[in-house]
Amino acid sequence: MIIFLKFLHYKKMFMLNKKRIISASQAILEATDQFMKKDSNLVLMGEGINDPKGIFGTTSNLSKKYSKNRVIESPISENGITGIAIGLAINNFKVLLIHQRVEFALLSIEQIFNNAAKSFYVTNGIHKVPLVIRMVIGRGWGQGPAHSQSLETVFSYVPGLKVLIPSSAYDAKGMLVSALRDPNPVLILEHRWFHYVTGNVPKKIYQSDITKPKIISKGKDITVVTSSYNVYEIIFCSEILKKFNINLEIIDLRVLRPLNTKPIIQSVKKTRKLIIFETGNKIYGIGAEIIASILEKYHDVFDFPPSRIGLPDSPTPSTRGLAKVYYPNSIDIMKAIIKQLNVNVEVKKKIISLLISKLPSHEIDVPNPNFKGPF
Amino acid sequence: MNFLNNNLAKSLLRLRMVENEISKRYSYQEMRCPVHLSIGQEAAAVGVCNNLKIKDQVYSTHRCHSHYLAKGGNLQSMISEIYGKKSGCCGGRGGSMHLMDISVGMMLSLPIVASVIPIAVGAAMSKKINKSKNVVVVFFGDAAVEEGVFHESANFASLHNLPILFVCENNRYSCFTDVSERQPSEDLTRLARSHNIESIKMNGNDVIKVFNQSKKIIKKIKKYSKPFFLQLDTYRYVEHCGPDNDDHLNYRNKNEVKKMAK
Amino acid sequence: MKLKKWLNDDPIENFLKYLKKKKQYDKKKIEVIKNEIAVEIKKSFDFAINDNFPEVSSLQKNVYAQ
Repeated sequence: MIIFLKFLHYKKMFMLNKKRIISASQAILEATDQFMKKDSNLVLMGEGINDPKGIFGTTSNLSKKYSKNRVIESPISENGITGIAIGLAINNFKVLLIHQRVEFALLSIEQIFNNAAKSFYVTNGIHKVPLVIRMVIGRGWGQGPAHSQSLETVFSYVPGLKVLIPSSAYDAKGMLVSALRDPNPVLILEHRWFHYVTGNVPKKIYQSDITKPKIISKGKDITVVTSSYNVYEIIFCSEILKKFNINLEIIDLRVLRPLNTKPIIQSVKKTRKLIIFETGNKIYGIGAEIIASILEKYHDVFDFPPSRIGLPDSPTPSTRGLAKVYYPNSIDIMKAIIKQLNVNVEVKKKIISLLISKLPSHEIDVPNPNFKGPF
Repeated sequence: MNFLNNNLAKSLLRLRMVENEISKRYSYQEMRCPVHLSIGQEAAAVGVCNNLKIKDQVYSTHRCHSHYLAKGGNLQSMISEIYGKKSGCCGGRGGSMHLMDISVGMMLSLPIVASVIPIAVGAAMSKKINKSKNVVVVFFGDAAVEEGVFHESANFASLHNLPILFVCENNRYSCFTDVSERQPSEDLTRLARSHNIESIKMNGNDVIKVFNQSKKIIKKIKKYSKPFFLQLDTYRYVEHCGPDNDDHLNYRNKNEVKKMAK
Repeated sequence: MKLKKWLNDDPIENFLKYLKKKKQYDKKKIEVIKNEIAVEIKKSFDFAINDNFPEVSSLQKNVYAQ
């Protein structure tokens, strides 16, 4: 028996050694490159894809590997290139379109909402639109009111679109591959800081499931639903809470549309408590949708009123002087969690002081250095 | 009548008679979707489309009946679509403004005035990548050049030398608003010139001239893979949207009304 | 006014005038064409009017590819 356990132990060590730790941005580049190599009908378009920085490194050197017809550095014409991408897509091409800031994609909402999302439905299945749009959301370096919004729920409003919001390097690649294999439009919203997160990414082409959220940590005490970069904030809190024998059930949302609330409902039935921590605005946010859809079916499932953590009701300020109160920080998040827990005031104090002792000193406008992974 | 004239006659009369029939029956309120009739604008569609092969593609707007029929779209699927029936070209999901019949290269119609233009440019890009000998034709109205995406599309088509013919049917009115209230000049080819696209402005109601001119243009597009902008001045005989003459509303010149009354 | 010029420009009348000028106008032939079209139109309208609406169960079909 002991020998067997030892064997397992060594096997695990060996497997660990075999892990390939790369960043999410490298994972995206790898998926794009491998897919382009495999499928000559895949066309890449975007503003700045041939820049030296290559959109967080996700498009670096692709223009050297593939023809100008397939890596199209585009004029600053967001609605135009989206329509052009749709035109290619209904003519047997696949298009990967990239926006460095979600706000640029706002200029293309006409094409995305009216045409990309609806063509398959309106033509009763005749026109497929294999189009993937990557957009960067989220905060950092004083990007401010029109360069750092998290508008994922805007896009999640429209039937016909699939909306993905990956958090791990593994999903960065797997979800992009799944999206590129989907016959209809898929939007991938990437938090700016998500690009630096590292994790195990297999070399081969693989798909991630894009139909449902994923429980990334089992726990009985409270369900925390979150997504994208915020997942790491919750993991951080969760590690501290474990020392007090409090276990979070962390659900990474991953797929905003079509929204599958089943794993969330199952979890809530067990924990009877729910917090939703989103990257975007609290008001009209994904949390509202999730809580409403649970309560419509199960009005008495909660032991405590479910809560939402999101951005406050103001535009995003550029200055760190205001950003520090605009973005919920680790302490705010921890407080929201323990508020729902049945622990005494002394323990709550201990939790917060342990959290504070673990917080690295860093500015609000750069990522927490602990959140790089590997995850 | 020679073969060509016979075809043109058939095409023109078919468009006019179909639209008149829709106009006649519209008041029964069984066709319950907006209809933007092409009556008066037939020569543009017929003149251009009679130069196209099946694999040449056509894209159109809300006023798409003429392009659909001129490209050879199935009449029964079109009428069923307008009636919202199952056998419609979109199974009733699109209505009059979304006509398409991909079996004859009538690819797509979209109602947001310039919305289809970039899609047609993307289609032309696909022709270029595939080294296809076919062209793409996109029809739109005079107001479409007022939406930014027209310029984005024209710029891209010019930059990439795409085989596309932009056909601007200038019927002078955006709903009720005359072109003079919307544009500093009725010559819209100046916009094409600003994008380095060759262009011609001509009478769009003379089917022979339109046919001959577009024949030359399409040949040129196929030979050199370059976009072209063709402005066809024309006129719609009925209201912007609906079956009737609406000149009692006095938004068009009184003289026009008398001339149009039949 | 420029307007007047093209007000007389009914594309169908223009074409018929052109045929007459080119001595290609064939009244009988035009009648035959018109009759053929009328038959096709009637058939199409009859079919459409008698056709069914799509099944209500198809409402959410093809929102996403299956």
